[in-house]
Amino acid sequence: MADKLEMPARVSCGALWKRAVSTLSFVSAYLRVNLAAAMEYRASFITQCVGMMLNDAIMFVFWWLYFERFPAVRGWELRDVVMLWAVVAPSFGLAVTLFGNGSRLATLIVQGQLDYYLALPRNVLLHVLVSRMSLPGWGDVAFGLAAFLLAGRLDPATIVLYSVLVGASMAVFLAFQVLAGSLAFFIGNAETAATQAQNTLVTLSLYPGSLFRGWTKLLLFTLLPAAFTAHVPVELLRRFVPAGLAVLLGFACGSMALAVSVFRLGLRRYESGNLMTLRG
Amino acid sequence: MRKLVKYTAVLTATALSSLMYPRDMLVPAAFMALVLFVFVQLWTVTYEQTGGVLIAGLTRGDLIWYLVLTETVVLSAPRISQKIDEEVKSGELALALVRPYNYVLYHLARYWGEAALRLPLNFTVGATIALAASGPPAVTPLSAAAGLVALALALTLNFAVETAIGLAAFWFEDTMPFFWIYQKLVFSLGGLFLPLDLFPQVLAAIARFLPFAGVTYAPARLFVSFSWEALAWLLMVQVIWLLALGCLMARVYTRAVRKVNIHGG
Repeated sequence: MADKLEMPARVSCGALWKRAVSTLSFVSAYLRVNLAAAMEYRASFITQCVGMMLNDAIMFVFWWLYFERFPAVRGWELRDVVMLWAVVAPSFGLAVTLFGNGSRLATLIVQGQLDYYLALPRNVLLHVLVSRMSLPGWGDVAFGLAAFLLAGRLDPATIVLYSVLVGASMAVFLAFQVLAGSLAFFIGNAETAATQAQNTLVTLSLYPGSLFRGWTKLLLFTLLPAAFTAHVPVELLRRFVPAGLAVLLGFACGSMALAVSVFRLGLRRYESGNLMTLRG
Repeated sequence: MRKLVKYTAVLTATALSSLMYPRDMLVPAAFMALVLFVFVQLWTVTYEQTGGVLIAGLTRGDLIWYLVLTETVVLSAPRISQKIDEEVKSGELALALVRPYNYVLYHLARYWGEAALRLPLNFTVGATIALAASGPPAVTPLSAAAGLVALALALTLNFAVETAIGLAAFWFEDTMPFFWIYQKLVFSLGGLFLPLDLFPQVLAAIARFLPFAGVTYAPARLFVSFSWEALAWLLMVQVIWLLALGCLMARVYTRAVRKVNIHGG
């Protein structure tokens, strides 16, 4: 296992490219397999996706009703909340569909279910994350894209910026899931804490950033990074500032690096569950 | 009488069992603290911006206490639809059918066994935040009593809807989407975050007739702003929907049980 935890000292550009292509094909293969599995129960898949879209849409009714009565919250208007959903729903949706085990990481660690991945010649964390797909997440992705269309800013520059922002937001969501799940390596039964932390981040991401000030705002830029999953991307779509994008991308890369490091550190403390499992 | 003793015993056993897993109760309480914190921020800003003391006849304090009540109902209600959904899919329901109790009443007793513990805990957490944010509520013994009666009816009404959703597992592979939609209808048309008094008039008039208002709006509205007129209307809505959904649930259950196939094992 030790060799799976070590990073090679020096990697050539060619080898790096080869590894990137290999990783991408690995992720896309899992995506295809997970989708094919979902299609075996097509009615259930469609019900879950449509259900999640309706779920998001009804939740959005609250904001519509609120802004019908009060035109703005410290500068945030209905169109900003539409954009907030356009960013948060697909970024969260992509995180839980492409990397569906992120939300279950603590459970897998506590139950000793990482054994299967440790025996295979792939990056353990990546393999764990991609080996499951949360189907309702596609509903979130579809709703978010519909919200973006509704916002009506469809010029090429905005579309490119929006895609980058959704990618960065997704990376922060995923890193947070990995960090919260990795708590299980260190404190044991962290399933409830990890789930609660993830719910907290999603909840805080779905409210206008202008509501929060002082120490709460500091918290949202650090420990519970809702500012980077939601508020900063929306501010950048309202008024683009290159430095703001750089900070967001920097935070996304930094949090991913931190998540990978903490997972690797935790993996050294991992105790096998001695489970005999069959995977279809 | 014997039946009452039987279901009371189930209720007590569930409550005692829940005490063994305090974390399951503390998580919703922590989430309640978070949601209330966010909404205190939202409504504080809203009242600051409008510059008025009253919005739709409610002070900022009324609104915060209203949210304490609505959140208490939603976060204290056990997820009975998921439990029934699992029992139907796993076939565990077949075991329950041969036991000497009514399946629905058994779950009602279990539901209240859990809710009875969560209610005071969640209310205490919410009340602490509301006290810190806006001081004590402007309630009278009458409004508190009316709120309590409406709260009991609200949770029972929620049970009826969720049981019908759970039993739908006999016909649908996954009932979670139905639960999400019901939950979000309670959030929006039930006035969880925004009292119906703040809705556009037409929508408010429609929402007042719907069962979702009976789940969250009714107990909270009576608690913070009591009137005999509101009491009569809201309790009537709750009772009518409870009877209607009770009949629906019974019908769904009767038809569902006919679909049970037991293969032994």
